[in-house]
Amino acid sequence: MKFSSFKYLLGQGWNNFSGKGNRLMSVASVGVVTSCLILVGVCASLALNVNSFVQYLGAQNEVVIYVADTASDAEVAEMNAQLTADEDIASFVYVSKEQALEEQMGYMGQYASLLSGYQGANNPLPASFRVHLKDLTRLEPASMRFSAMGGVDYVSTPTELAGVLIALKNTTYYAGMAILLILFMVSMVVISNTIRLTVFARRREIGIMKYVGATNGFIQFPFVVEGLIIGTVSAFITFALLSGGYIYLYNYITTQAAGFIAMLSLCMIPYKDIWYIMLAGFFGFGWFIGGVGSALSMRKYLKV
Amino acid sequence: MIDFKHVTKVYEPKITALRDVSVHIDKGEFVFVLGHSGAGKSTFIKLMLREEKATKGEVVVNGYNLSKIKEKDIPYMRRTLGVVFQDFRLIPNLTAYENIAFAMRVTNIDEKEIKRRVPYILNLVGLAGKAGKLPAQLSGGEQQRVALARALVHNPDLVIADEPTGNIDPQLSIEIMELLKAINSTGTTVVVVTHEHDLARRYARRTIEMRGGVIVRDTAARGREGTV
Repeated sequence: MKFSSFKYLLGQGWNNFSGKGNRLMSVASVGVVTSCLILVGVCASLALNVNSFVQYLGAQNEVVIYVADTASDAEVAEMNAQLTADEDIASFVYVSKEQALEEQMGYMGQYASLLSGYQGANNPLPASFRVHLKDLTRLEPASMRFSAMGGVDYVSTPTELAGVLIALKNTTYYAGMAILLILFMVSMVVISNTIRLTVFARRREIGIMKYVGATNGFIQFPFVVEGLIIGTVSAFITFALLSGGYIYLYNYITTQAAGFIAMLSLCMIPYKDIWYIMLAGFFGFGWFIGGVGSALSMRKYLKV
Repeated sequence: MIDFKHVTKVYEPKITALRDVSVHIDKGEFVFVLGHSGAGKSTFIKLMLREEKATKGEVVVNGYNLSKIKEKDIPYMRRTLGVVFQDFRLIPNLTAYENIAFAMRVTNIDEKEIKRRVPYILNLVGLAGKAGKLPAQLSGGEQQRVALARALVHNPDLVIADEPTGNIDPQLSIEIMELLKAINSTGTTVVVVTHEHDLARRYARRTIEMRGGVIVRDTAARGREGTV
């Protein structure tokens, strides 16, 4: 395509968006697409933060592999090697019988001397491996593998809590996806109808273009540009509004001294780690529905 | 140039617009396609423009077999012909100049060439002084001349005029027909589709008469033209 044609088509696209008589419709469609994008953004931010919260809670829960008192040093070394090679494990630490007793004494504070008679051979506390998994959904197969290792007395797993966390994660994921899909379709219909109105108003021109030998791509281009402009403006407004809202909320939560909100501050994703996801998401979403929505709305008028 | 071989066009549900039509129009001919409403004239044009596809048979225009042409090649085929409509089909908010330039811009022609060619074409159709006028500021005959100029911008091998004098008064009709004759004299094939028997009779050119979707008469040019 020649540069002059490209410039002409861009101008036509801009004129479709901002030209006299089209402005009101453009403002209306930017408004609706922005509303959809805001809802998408809120849902996605919520889902990302719930995911982060679930991961945070999951990380606080550990699987404890208790080593049988009868286990030999070789068996403990073998367990250590197997856990090191296990791909489901994020981190683990070995706690010897002595460390376990010391820890227990630490918990008891001023009453620690009560346990002084349990040192050495009298120590009833087992040695253990404290394991953090990468993904709580892998809890069951991992704990089965741990139980099967030689020298293991028993494995303590936070199954119930893991179940709740996984259910929460899944619900957030599927609900988020469903809402996203619905909003996506709504935006698509809105943008497609807006462009259809412009196309309808210019059907005569389109007909003439077809008769004089304009290609479908050439005819579609300005309308796709119009859709992309609607998508870009909507994405920009949404990004500005949601960024402001997110920063305000993050500052509010992180300055709370105590309570549940203070705990949320430990797992809320900082703005610096989420802004580029928002930016890419809004512009990607805006451009996609703008471009595809306008291309779809044109099909009928290209069959001349 | 134009070749219809046993062409049938059926519109669903079962309306036969053309029935086994075979006709050949050579390069450089001036032909009237004559017929009343419902004769099949519009379908004949639509098939030449590949706005519709023949149900049966083969249509060849300017070397393109329109029964087999790929969708992506249709615009390029259309650039080899110019079309003029009864209702002019000008864009009301564009000047005469811009209406013609528009047809060039949308076919990817650069501005330099547009600036060179549009004044030339406007001069050819006698509208050099009206380049800046909007269609509403022009008479019917002038609007049709703008439409004709637009049809000529690509220097087509074939001009199809669909009822070109239908919306203008008799005196202006003569101007348009004279222009079409002048275009034909340069070697461009001209097909005038009309319901006006008088027009065809007056110009004494080859006349193909259609009725009920079939060709009922195909008479050669008589070699002399009647007085207008």
